[in-house]
Amino acid sequence: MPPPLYLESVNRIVKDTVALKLKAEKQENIDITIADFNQATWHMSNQGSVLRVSVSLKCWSALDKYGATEQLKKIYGPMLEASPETNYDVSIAFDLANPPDNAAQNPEPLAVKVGSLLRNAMASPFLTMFDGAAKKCQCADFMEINYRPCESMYLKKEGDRVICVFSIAFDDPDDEVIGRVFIQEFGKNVGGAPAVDIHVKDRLTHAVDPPMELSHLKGLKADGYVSFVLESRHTQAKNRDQIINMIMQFRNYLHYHIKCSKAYLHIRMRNRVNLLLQVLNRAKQEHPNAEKKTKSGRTFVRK
Amino acid sequence: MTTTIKPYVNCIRETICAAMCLENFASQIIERHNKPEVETKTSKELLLNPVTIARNKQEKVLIEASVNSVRISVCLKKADDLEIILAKRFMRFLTQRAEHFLILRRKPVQGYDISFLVINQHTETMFKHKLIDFIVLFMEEIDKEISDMKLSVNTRARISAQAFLKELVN
Repeated sequence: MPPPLYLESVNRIVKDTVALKLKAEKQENIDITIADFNQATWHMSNQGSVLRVSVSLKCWSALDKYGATEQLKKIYGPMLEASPETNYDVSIAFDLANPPDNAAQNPEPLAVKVGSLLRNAMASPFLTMFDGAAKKCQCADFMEINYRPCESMYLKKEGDRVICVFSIAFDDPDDEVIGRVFIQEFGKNVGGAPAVDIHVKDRLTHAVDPPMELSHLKGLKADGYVSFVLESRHTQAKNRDQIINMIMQFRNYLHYHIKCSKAYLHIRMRNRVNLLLQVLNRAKQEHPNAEKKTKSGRTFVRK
Repeated sequence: MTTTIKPYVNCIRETICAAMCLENFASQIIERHNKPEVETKTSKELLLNPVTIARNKQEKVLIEASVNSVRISVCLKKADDLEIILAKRFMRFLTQRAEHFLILRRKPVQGYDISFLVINQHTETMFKHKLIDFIVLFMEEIDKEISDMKLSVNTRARISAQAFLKELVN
């Protein structure tokens, strides 16, 4: 089965566990810790009939500064806990015996909602910024979200447009070359999609200029920058949730496909090695030191 | 200007054929030792003139022969950054499996991408013409393989980028 093209934004383990527990007759106590992209961790536990799901994010303080808690309250309502579990940044909890959203009859939507906790937390600055650009609410002009140790996401409001800039860093110098090929393909236009601006390292100077949206920031270090220019037709689109899903996971998507590419190259190299070995084996003699005789019966001994 | 690879490869084949006349020769300096003379290079009279066959400034093959061993070093075509890292990875992959390949040298000679070392024992246990076929096939296949790998990376990049941007269309 070939690897999938897109990454999922709902955490499948959380969604499946919640669906399982909602359908279960007898509730067993569980305590699961799950790792997710960008060094985020989930914690699911229940004692008796209350299931608590918590998420810990490296960038939660930045997200909260830009209104994450309000956005999550809009989605999860009473499920959102006022104070999160210790060591975690946000928690939701609900009663398995009496679940909200009519989940007793139809557990799937609630399971998806719970599994999207991380996604909703990361999406909150986008929603705030989109509504701010459309003048529906007040919001900051520039947001910086340091979602990974060396890489950040920047959102900037310009009139009714929102510009989303990603700074990309590569650990491996080989990865950087392959990554550059991928990043350059993103610069090619697709009709209707947001305009994309690419900054990659110059081949000779090995330095990259940050885009002008980030010109006021100092001390930026990255191997490349990718900017998405979202017009009002994108920020107010009917499918804006899907647009947010994709843009939010851009960096993960990029690295996922780079890794798939490397795995495929590895498979090719292994196949090639096998073919070459087959050719080499044809060169081997069956009986290297067989005694060779001439027609008249004289033998030949190799010294 | 890209010339076909045939004349280059034929020239290499003929040269290796001529150079690969190996016989067992015990070491002259150390008693009871038998070393490939092209590696030790201690006695000048046992070494033949090294020959370099160059297709252009980048691609060349160095053939050094001696009485009991031949060393063939290949420099591959690397047009851009991506081909450089693909060639490096591929050669590292092969040299890590050198014990299966028998005639492969674990480290390439300085200035080249990969080296073969054929000693008299190899020509005794393997057919000489098939051995040369293998080396020549190796050279043809490697170039094709690196081009294919580069194409697959570019294709995947294009497809994944297009798929991503299509999802962002309102």
